[in-house]
Amino acid sequence: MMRDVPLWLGFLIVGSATQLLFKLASEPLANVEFGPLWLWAALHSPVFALAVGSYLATFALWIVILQRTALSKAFVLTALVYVTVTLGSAVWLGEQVNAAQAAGLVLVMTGIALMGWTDGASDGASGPYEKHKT
Amino acid sequence: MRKCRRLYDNIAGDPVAPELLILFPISIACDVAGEVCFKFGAGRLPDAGQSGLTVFARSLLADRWLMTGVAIFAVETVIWLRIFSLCPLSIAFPIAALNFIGVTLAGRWLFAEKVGAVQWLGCGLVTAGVALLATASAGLA
Repeated sequence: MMRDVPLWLGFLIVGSATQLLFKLASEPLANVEFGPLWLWAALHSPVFALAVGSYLATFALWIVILQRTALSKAFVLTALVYVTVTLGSAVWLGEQVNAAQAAGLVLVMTGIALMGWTDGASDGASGPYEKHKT
Repeated sequence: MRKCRRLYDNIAGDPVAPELLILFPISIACDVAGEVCFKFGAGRLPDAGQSGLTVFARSLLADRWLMTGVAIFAVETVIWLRIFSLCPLSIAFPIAALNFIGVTLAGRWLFAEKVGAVQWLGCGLVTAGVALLATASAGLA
């Protein structure tokens, strides 16, 4: 589990950046009617291109995580993205966090702390890592 | 976001669209099936550290399981667009949080992963937390 911490950090940072970039890219498009014109404007936005690239990188990192982690555990741990995105929106986009959101964040973090505390996160490793074990 | 809100206002007070009773289970099934495909596919890929990034990226794009997963998520996106037009985000997002439970069950049944009591508790707290966070955040939109 501990050896995967840098991988998870990378996944969280790139995954959260993806969401914030999509949000930034969407702002100039807010007044454009959804349709071909909207798509045209989106495809010409450098921030949108960056967001798509970041999205693909997140996918590749997720697949690497799945190579070495049980699906049941890894998937629930991805909820950390909700924590980083909510906090990131508060810090960089100036959005406010209300009491109900804060309570949700605490529940998610408590749940994840419990998951991380249990052993055997790599029990479900498949592929090359499984071969090394035997 | 504003657009979804307007749709919500239009149907506020109306009974739940029966279509949603089919769309919600399908969307969660898509989530679970997509992740199962990703897990199967991931197990067939080389170790990125040993093979190098180019070989890894190429085998990732060529893997049938992974691309099936991507196709499932593409279908799911369309289903979500339909769901958004039928009900408010503050209801849709918390229901989507059930996918944590679905994927945990899939890991247990399909990949024989051990899921103990503490892990189930963690999974339940995360599901409740994401549902609450989603409801609270949707209210702001």
